[in-house]
Amino acid sequence: MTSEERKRAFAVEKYAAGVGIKLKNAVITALIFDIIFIAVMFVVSFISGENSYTAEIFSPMFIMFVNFLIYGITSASTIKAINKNSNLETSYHIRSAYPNCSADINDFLSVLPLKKKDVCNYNAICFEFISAVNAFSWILIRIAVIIADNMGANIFFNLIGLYGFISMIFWTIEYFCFVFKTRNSPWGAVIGGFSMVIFMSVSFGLTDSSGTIEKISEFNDRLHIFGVFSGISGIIIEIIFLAFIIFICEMRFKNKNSISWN
Amino acid sequence: MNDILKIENLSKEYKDFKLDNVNISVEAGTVHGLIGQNGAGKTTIIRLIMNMVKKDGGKITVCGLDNIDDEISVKNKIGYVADESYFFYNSKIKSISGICAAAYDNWDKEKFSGFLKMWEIDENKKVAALSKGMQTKLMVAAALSHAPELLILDEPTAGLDPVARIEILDILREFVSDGKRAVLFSTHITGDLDKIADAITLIINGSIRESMSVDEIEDKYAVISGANSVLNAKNEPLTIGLRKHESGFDAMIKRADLDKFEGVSVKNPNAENLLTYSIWQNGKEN
Repeated sequence: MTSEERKRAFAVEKYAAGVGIKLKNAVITALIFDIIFIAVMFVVSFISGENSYTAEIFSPMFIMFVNFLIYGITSASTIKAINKNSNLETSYHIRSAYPNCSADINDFLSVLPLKKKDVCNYNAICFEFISAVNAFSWILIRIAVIIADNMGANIFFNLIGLYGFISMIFWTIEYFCFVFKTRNSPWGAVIGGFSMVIFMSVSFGLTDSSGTIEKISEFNDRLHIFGVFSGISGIIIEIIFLAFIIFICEMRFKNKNSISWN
Repeated sequence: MNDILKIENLSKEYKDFKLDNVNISVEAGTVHGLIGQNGAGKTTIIRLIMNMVKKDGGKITVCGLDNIDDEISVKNKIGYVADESYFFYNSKIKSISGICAAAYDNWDKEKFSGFLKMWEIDENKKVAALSKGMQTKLMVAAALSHAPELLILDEPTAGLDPVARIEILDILREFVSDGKRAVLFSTHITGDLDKIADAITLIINGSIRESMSVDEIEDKYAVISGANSVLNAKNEPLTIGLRKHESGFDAMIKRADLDKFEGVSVKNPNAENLLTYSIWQNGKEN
């Protein structure tokens, strides 16, 4: 992306962000929420001691639920906005390239001499932003896990580790759904929602039955085999993983730019 | 003359509507009126020009450039005013200039601000806070602020008060005065076209019925009125949109047939006559 292209994409983004679904706000809200609850869990796990019921209350499921709520509302408002004018054929391609914007914006943008690339670049920036926030969120979690682990807070370690694992899978699916599937349909949100439910169920099964902590611990031990969720190397692997996803998606955008509007 | 807009054999089919083989030429230095009933296809033609809907066939060129192959250049040359505000209602007016400046090659921020001042539009307001007339003015301001060569207006004067309508018409007249630019003006208010149009295209049920200069319309047609006794089996079929009433009749006819109607009063047809008599005729044929 050249500086001129980025400038145009940001101009689109600036307009769209002001009138769209407040993507940034949703992501930032989720991030702040993450940080607050990581801190709360951290404190609670130390105050309550190991194997406490209180720590379980602040289970990752709750965090995931709120995250899901935030992004669910976000997705729903997008779909609603798109469907609002679905009887119009207006700027089909622009709309399909704008999963996060309302149809009203698309009408205006379709009047402007914008290249499809500008629109796609806007999307790319959005996803880069989401990725950056997610990566930052993961890194925070990883740091918290390392600190907690070193201080002997096993419950916190296990719960947050599980949360990290689940959220990473969730984010990955969500990311791919956004990029590849949701361009003009609600399927991405549906798939994302289902994956969320499945992983939450798994989480319930692991945390709510007898011998809860042991099961979580066993589960995390298995994850450690891949080296993904332990220590600094885990963070590096996750960043590489994210970079790989972004790279694939950027390639996807580049390919899309070469496709004719008609 | 140089054609700013040329539409050739344009077609578009929907489930219950078909735009069929449309041909229109808009010459530089002219205001070209596009008239027709609701649902005749005027807005569809305009949206096809803007490549906002996908055409099924035909070719559209603006200043010699294909509207799809050279979409970016073409949109830089078009100022578009829709029948309803296309700006997002919750956006602030000042944000429009930002996105336009990034999108258009020749965006003139000062000119845009000048229009806003002239029409007393507060740029800190949201679009939603403006009346329909003010929203139309806002679109006109945006359309004129990037040095377009073709101005396309879709029912622009419908929501305007008489003063604002005259102001807009003055702007259009001035816009084409250099002979290098053109206006395509779709409207129901045919009186506006009588004031400024140089050529008119009449579209009925997706087909072009007439597309010619105002002078040619006057040369080709005449509006007559007279006693019912004037009509007979030979001349009645020559009428277009015949309206009979107790005191007599009125109709549009081809001027070449004028000698077949004796003792009638004759006047030149205006845009409204062309539209209404053609629609009445079409109703009879169907």
